[in-house]
Amino acid sequence: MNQNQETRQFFSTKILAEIIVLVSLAGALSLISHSFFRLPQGGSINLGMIPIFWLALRRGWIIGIFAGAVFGVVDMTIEPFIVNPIQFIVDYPLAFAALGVAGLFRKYAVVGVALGGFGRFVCHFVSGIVYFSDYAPEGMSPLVYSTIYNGTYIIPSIIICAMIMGILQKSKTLNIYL
Amino acid sequence: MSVFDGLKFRRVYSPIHNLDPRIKFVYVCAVFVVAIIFSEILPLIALFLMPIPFVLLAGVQKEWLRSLRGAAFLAGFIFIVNIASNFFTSGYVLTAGAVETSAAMTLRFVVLVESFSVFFLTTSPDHLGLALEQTRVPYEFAFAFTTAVRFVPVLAEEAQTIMDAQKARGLELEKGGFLKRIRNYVPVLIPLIVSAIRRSLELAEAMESRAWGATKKRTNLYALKLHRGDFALLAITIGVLVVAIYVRLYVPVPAISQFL
Repeated sequence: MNQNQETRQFFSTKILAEIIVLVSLAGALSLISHSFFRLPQGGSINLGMIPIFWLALRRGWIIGIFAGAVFGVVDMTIEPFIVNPIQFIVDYPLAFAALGVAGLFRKYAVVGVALGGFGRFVCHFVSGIVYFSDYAPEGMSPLVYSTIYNGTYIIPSIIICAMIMGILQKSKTLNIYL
Repeated sequence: MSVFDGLKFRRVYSPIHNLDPRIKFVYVCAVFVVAIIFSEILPLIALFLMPIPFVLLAGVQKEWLRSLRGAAFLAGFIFIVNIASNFFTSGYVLTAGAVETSAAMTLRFVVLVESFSVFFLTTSPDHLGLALEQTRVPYEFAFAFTTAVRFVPVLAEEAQTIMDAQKARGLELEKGGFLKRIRNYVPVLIPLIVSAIRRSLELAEAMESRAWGATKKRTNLYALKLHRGDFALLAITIGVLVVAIYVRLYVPVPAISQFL
């Protein structure tokens, strides 16, 4: 199985299978958290990011970004919210791919998670500006709106993910079955 | 679990489900363009009514109504913000014209959300994966997407089982302060992740035994081909675009408030 030189695969089968199963775990967790902790604004505290962070910290940022992009498309089929072709690209594949950046700081899980979460926030922030400006009345800044709307659900999610990833890293679950 | 039933794999046949997802996507983008170039309410009402025959033909009314309800919160928000800003900038008078513009803005938002959600309601993940593959997205990505979507309900059920098992051992998920509650999720997450990794090893073996990545050029049993219905939808799309651009350029669109 290791002599597949001529097929030029990006990942080995084992890693691809890991990506697939963890992305669907992320989808399952985000489904469950949607039904458990709802926020009044419509966003939700989402545990779905944890498997993506976990994969990024375990296998590095390239795989993290790939897995994040796949998860973005999966999340889109679970709960589509699309109002604009640009918003669709930025809000789904790009925003979740940004989570994979966590893999750059493999020694410090909390720093990596914070960075990945910040990347996701920036993507949602930009898309919020793009799509809200279609409906915003004259003279209202979409910047404030986008910050408040996205901040209320992403920041608590990031704090929770960072704490849980810190615990998971300390308990050495990151390196099982490597 | 009723929450996950919606995700379970089911093969649905309807004229709309069988359409090529690429053509459907082009149609949705055309609706987007039309909704953006009009800010009057009459064409937006027409656009809002347009997907209804598709929804009825595909038999997804229930899901469609649910997604309408989901969009209601933001739609209400947009309506209120528009009305309020109009009210304050025009010297504290509420005109019928202002209400109509705000309603049109809200309707534009609803039209866009609806047209995209009809696309997802009537396109199976398998078709979407095939379409991704045939638009030259790397095969690994398309494969990972289709397989991951299939696994989601399985893993959701497993997560539910593990949560129940840990609760039976005395884990109290909904008790304690903020910190305690988060720590409570760790005994659920660790077994979940471990079992997911074990499952991935099995999946890797299954993929290898089916010669994953052995050939450079893969062929598909089901390839997407354009049928008569796809050309019909394409014709509708082009028709809608042409009519919309013609109306925009040469016909003044009346507002309802002018008739009152």
